Amino acid sequence: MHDLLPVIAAGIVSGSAYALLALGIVIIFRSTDTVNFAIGDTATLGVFVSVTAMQAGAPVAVALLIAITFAGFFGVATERLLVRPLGPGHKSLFIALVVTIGLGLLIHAAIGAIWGHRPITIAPMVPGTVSVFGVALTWNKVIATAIAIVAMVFVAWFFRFTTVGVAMRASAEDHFAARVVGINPGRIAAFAWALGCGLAAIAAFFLAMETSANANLTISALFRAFAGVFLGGLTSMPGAAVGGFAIGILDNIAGRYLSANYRDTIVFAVIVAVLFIKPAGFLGAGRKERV
Amino acid sequence: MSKHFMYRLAGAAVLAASVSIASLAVAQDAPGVSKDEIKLGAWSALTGQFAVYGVPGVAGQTAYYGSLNEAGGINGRKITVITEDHAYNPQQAVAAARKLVDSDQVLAIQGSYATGPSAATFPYLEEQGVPYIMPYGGALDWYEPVRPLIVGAQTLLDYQARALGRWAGKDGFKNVLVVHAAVAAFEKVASNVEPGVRSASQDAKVEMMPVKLGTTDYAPIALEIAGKKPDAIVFIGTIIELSAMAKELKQQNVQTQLFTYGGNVTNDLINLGGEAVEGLRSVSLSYTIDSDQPAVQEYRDALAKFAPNEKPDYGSLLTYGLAKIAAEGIRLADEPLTRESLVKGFEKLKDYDSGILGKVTITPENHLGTTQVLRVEIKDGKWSQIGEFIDSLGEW
Repeated sequence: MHDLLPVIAAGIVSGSAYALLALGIVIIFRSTDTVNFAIGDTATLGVFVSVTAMQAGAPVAVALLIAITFAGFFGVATERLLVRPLGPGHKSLFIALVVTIGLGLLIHAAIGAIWGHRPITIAPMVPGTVSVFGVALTWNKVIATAIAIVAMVFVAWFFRFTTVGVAMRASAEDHFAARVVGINPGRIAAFAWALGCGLAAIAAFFLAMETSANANLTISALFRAFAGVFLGGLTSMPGAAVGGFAIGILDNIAGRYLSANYRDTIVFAVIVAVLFIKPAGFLGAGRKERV
Repeated sequence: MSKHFMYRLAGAAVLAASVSIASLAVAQDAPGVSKDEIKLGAWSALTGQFAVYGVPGVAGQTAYYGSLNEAGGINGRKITVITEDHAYNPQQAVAAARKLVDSDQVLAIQGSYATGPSAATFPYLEEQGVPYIMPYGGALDWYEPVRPLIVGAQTLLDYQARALGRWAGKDGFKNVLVVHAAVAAFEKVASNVEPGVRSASQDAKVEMMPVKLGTTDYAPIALEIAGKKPDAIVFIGTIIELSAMAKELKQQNVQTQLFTYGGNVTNDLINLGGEAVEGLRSVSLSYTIDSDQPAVQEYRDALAKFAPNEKPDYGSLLTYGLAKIAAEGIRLADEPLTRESLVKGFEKLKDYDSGILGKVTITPENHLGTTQVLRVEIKDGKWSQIGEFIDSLGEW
């Protein structure tokens, strides 16, 4: 295991995308009790819109902002038009889950119909590589990791120190009490969906730069992001971020030292073991039912 | 002239007329055949992640039959192809087969993609006696032993892998790593690399490395490969994964010769892999798309005219060539054109040169028309031809 440090470095870089997606999932879940399975496809759609913008001459940084903004607005529209009309209650939560799965399939099909099924290459933000602990990483990946970390720090600051953030936390803790003290839950929900989908778009944009823009861009990453969410705790934002990075590192260690074929199996075996000991994830809180 | 002779003459005339009418009736009644049209069926992945192969495949056929019909069709009959989408789903492929055979009454299924979904339809097609001609895909058990209704001309992936192995062995590579998607179909293809290497170099070391299908993060795999120090890698997997691996290997400064099979000979690989796939070698089933072969020029013109949304690429060139061979088989079939005479028409193909694929010979004992491949290499961002077609099973 002479190259353990390089493998961990590569894992952190891969994990940054999972962490961003995981954070997006948890933010949306905490505000509206909805697991948004369409978050990956929404982010992919944002990337394709930004690809069109780049083809029209937009610089990469502007394209990234377009992807974030589009995905954010799309998330708001999803919440407002598809999720909120379902109303509160356990039944609605299940329906919302199915609705987001269906929406994801629709977006996937729409991307194929509009942009075709061939992968589209996106030039990296900064070409070239840098050596980290002896492993060559593209500048693109390093920048993606840095942006992911900055985004997470921003989210932490936002929820801790801003009025809207505190209101969102209050609403997540108790919708009814939050409404009593004058917090508008609809506005909070919209903001959470915009933030969650926007974070996912950052992840998807950098994934596309590494590989290509294609309709299946986030499938594999979203799978790992969900693993990160459950590992860290479905209700914990820091847990989701840490879980995402942990999955990236575990995945790289399993792929390097154990089996390139069974890396997912190994990672999920570890997760099952963790959840067996701590069912709410290592930073999650046990969920209390409101009565 | 005696009265008896007159009766016999009249009887013969009635019999001849009856036979003619009966023949005409058969000709008109043969599914999918009329005096001015031949209706064929096809399926492909037009949606989903395999549409990247399926859509260009349909474009190639559209281009060929479009130009053929413009030139008058086959013996005065225009070709109509009804194409259904199966999204790479075997159940949908079976549903498509039932619709094409039962409702659309096609003469045969032609140029259909892909191996797995198509195989699911075979019990039904065999039950209905429907020929399955010139498929875009295939497996060894489709042709060995001979299945009476299946005729094809696409060199099998197994044979391509053997040719790659032999090429690596002949070029003196002594430490060959076979990286393959860990799915039975890919694994079976990959297993043919070692016999190929051994056919040229007995002392070469060949190691298999299965990788989960759909892997996007090749960083740990590249680090492992760096530790193995192979002088050649044969990759059996998808284009996106191949480009991801090639990029990671380049980043980690792993110096090795990359090989891959014909399914990955596309312009998409060059677009995705960029400099990382420069020098990569493969075996193509067709001439290169910018070849100056007259048939390839005809393909480019036909594609521009009948499938203008598709840029020339290897998937559409292959299916254009397969459609051309299909048309030649139909042309050679005896009248009245039926499902039986169609298969016999293909069995008359002998060293048929489409000008695009390897030469095709089909006999009652062998329904796979060719085992030829063309060696190619990515040079200056383009696929370049190396030599002429070779027999993938031969000792070239």
